[in-house]
Amino acid sequence: MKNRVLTSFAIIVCFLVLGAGLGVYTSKYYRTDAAAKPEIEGLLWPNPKQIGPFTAIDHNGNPFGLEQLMGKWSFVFFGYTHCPDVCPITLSVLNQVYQKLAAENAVNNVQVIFVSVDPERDTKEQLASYVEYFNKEFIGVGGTGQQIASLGQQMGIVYYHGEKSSSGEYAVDHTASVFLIDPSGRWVALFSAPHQAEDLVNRLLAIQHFIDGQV
Amino acid sequence: MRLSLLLLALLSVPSVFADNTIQISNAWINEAPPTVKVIAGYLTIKNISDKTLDLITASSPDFEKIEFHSTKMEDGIASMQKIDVIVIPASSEFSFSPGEYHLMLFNGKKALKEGDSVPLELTFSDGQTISIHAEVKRANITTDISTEHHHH
Repeated sequence: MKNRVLTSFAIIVCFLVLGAGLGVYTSKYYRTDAAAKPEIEGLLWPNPKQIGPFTAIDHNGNPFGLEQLMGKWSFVFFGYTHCPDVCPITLSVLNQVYQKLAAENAVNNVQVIFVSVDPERDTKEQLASYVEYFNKEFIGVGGTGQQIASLGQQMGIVYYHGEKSSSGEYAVDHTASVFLIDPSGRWVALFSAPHQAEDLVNRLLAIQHFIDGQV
Repeated sequence: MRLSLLLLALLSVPSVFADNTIQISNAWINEAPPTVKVIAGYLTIKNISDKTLDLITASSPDFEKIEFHSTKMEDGIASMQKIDVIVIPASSEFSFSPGEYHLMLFNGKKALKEGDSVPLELTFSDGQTISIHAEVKRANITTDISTEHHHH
């Protein structure tokens, strides 16, 4: 019995030593080789797509285009305000991401953008009350159907409007991933649902670190 | 004062209805911006009988209508599907939970805020109707949908 306990203890110690060694090895590896693509799920590297010029309107009625993406890290999420489940979940998570970054003084160069794929119902007033409910700093983006379609196309967004019910309600199926655009307007990462705040923060910080190291 | 505190304490207990066959727990509604016309509700139904039970309808005096919906995620695209009945096999549990299934609450008749209590009536295939109250909450989604709970 005592032997068995000793043996398992020894095995655990072995694993710990191995694990620690591996940890040291990998951290060294990342520090010395900045050019290698780090293992970050969703990172689109080495060929991130440059977002081209687009036109849209933000929830205050101001023009919103590529210039508004420059100089900041942007989390972009496509949805619609009549979406009861996935959109509020995602925006709540993004609010937590924002709060966590704020707590670490890392939020100044980060913005969260909610693009409506339902221009018919999502007026700028509707968008304003919606995004501000989750976070006063979030930006709602709308526009004509064509403007949204052209922006969506650049990012491979899929959405289609369901049939209207007798009371005029309809659902919109839409891509539920969160996109990350870097300060030079490059689409650098795609985060698939479901999202967890802590995980998104960690991935953002790792990607920032990596891309800053590329310059 | 004391009475109102007691009342408050009673209200904050998750509404649980128990009879011989069905238990309902953790009923809540996700608070939404006031302009939003459709919002989602969640709850857990436990069928403790030895027969399959179907949840057939849900209704509330505070909403025009309630449907059951599932959220499907395929190739990164979220879509909602209406489900006519929720089938709950004998001795099993069914949860409406974020990102999976929700009660779709249409056209609220009054503005709902965190802390409000919404009456719901659920009708089952064996003919029984269960009345519960769902609390309006502002979800901290991470702790609600994550299986891990991190406390710092």
